[in-house]
Amino acid sequence: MRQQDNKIIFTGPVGAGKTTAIGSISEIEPVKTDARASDMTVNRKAETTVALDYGLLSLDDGVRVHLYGTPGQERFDFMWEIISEGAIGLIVLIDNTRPNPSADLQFFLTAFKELLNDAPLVIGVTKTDLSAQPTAGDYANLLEKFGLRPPILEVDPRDTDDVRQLLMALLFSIDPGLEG
Amino acid sequence: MMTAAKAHAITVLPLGMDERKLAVLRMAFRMHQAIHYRLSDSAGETPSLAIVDVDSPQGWQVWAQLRQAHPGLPALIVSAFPQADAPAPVLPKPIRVETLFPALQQLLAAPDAGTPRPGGTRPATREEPLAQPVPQPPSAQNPEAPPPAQAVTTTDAELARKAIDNARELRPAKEWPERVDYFDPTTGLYGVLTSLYRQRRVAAVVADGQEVFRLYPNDERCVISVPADTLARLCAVPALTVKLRALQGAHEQPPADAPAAHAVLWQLALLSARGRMPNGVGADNLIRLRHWPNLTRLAPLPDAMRMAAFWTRTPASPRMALRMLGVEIGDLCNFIAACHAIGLIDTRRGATERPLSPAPSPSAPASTPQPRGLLSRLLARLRNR
Repeated sequence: MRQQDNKIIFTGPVGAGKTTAIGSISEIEPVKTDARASDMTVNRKAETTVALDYGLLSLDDGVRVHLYGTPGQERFDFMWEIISEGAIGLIVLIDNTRPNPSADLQFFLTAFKELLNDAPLVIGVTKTDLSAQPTAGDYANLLEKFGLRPPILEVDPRDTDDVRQLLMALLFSIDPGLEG
Repeated sequence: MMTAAKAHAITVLPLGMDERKLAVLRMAFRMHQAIHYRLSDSAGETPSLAIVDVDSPQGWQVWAQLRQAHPGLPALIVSAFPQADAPAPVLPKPIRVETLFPALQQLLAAPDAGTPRPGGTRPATREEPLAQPVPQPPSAQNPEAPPPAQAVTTTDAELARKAIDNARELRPAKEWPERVDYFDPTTGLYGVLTSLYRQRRVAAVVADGQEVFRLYPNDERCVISVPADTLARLCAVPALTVKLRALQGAHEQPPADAPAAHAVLWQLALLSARGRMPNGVGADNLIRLRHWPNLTRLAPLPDAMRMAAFWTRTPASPRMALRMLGVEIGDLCNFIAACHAIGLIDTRRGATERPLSPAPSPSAPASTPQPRGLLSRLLARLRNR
């Protein structure tokens, strides 16, 4: 794996918590490219990511794992393929308070279809305290129809341990026998 | 010293694969029992087969490199894109166990299918792919022309070798113990609550003269009415008498802060199993998880994540899981009991695995400590945070 490919992608709709999740786990102050929302996004949050969020995890020998958050709006989808090339895996965050979170999930799985040909997928469901439905089981049943059985975990993106578990689930999806 | 198991292994040389892909291949090889495949891990040894991924940044240079080093070695090409005039059988990605091993066996049975024809590195006729390839996206590179020989370097082989060396952080295999304790999952608090949940019945569960649970399955909620130590004590009582009591009105709503039913069932299972296997689950029964448990919202259990990853990926017996993952037998039994409680276990009753051959001995330890692979170091980094 080329060093520049040591990256993990966080994606999902506007307001799902991508920027927050990267901030919870990154060892540097995340690089944000937020701007005042000027479209439908303004209904969900005042500022939104327009380019990329970036965070970093350094390993013991100085090797770096880069964490990239994609902008959630569809009009930035031209960037998604560029960002995701060669990634270790994909984390999709789904906001359970949105009108149709199951459709959001299907949209992002289709958008990242190329990456998911050979990279693992983990789904983090956020804001379940505000909206309990769909449950993780509901998402699992939906994905099983597509032959997918990825980890689906309820998470609070502000909680470092929750985000850490998302990343660990990604690693064990690659190799359940992994030691570290 | 080369062990007997290692001596009889089919050694496979992987080329064009990063650490992530090697990990998948290594896991697939460890699971295959009919023939013992292993990844080539020494520059000096002679491989029996090669698997070449031509989608790597080096593309077809990897193939030319293989043919320089091993002109007659049977090889399988893997790619996500159609490969016109491929010089060897093509296995389309994503690689699946169901197609990988038949393809390898085909190569072993008819090695000429994967070797180059005289007079060139690519055949005049097109090899048929082993399965239908996926459509090629417009952005994919066209590998029509093989690279000139002078462009070939050993870089990829070195990278692959290093990645294999780095991917050795395996737990030692564990064999199924002679004695495993069992418990009856149809009795006690565990049996009553799991049964009520499956029947979607709203009720209070009473034991030892006190209300223990209030279950609201349609709301996916369950109230625990006793302190944690009392619950643990009741779970340990053999032949506990449990009664049901109807709640006031079928439409009683759970309190807003009531725990999730799955979280309570999971916790109850851990307290009830205590390292024992549910009756009816044998060492060689094939098990598969319908999906991952929602582990961020369930009581922690050692190695739950690796067991979830393993059993959602493939049906396997508890014996195989123990051998592959090297987890503690008590944790494995608890995990099965907990997943059973929340309805995730797809037990293929009657379906059993063939008895396992003796576990291959781990490779001889290297004389110097090997650097750990990227994924392993990232896992260590996350655990130490």
